[in-house]
Amino acid sequence: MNLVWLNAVRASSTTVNYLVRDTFTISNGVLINSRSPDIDVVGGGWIFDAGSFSGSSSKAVAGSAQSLAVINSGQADVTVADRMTVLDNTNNRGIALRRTSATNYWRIDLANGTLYRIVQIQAGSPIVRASAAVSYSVGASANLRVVASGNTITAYVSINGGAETSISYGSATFNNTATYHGIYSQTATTNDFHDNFEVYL
Amino acid sequence: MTVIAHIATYWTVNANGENEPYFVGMMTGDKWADVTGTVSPPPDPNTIVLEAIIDDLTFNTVSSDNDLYVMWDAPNPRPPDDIPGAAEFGLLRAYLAQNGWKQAQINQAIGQGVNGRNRRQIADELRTYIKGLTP
Repeated sequence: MNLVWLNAVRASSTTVNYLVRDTFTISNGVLINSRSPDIDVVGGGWIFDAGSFSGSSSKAVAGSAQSLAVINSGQADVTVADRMTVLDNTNNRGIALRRTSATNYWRIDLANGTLYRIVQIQAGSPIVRASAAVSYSVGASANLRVVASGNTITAYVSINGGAETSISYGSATFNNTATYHGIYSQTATTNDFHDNFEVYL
Repeated sequence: MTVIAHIATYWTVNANGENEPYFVGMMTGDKWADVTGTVSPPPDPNTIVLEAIIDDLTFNTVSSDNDLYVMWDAPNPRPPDDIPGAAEFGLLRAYLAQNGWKQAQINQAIGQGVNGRNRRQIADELRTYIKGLTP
């Protein structure tokens, strides 16, 4: 009887094991790679693969087009979350996943104001593996969450706190042991803000 | 009504220089995923089988587009666990031939006849064959 009770307590007290967490609580204009995230288990900090990101109202904004920043979480099978404020409807932004170089990684993005997608960037060439329609307007808050497990990548999106919808790709052998994850913006400052970036088990 | 379907089509390049299936351009409130998993698309011949969850209006558009072939769908009219007739199987072979497949490749991928297989089994065999093709 006691054993049953103990198991019930354990099941109801699941904790999140953060590998990376960054709320970007920094002064405007400060580069995110110039300081330590709130949690950085490996300890390498942010790396700019392309462009840059800096603080703006305690969020991260891109400094130039095609900005890509990554951080080593030490794990490939993870959940990555990013809260974005989307300030245009014509460009792409999102999460970078399982990156080995600036031209080899996965991108889970909100695209063109109409879609969210799972995109494989292989030798710099984008391959769209899954997408779904999503509707959002300028100023929308988008919670993007990605679960990478073995050869399956599942992306969840919620707009303005609404219900999550999901897409999944089940043959993600490309870069499936890569441990760097991060944020991406197609265009520069003021088009979108990244906040509350998390990598956890 | 929402329809789930496995659809054969081909890879194309969109206006942003991204590789994506031809099907994507006609999406409205729908979603899809690559269920073939070719490592470096497009393969040669250029074919992909994708899974789409679409409304019936999009399904009707897909069904009437010669660049797309519905291998099965649920609910009707092509349930995945039913065995297709010879005429329907011939339409699949014709679709592949029109998209650059040699007869020998078609025979290797899906065989020359239905041979008691249902639509899902035929689609799975086609996906497996395409996944083994190189660019």
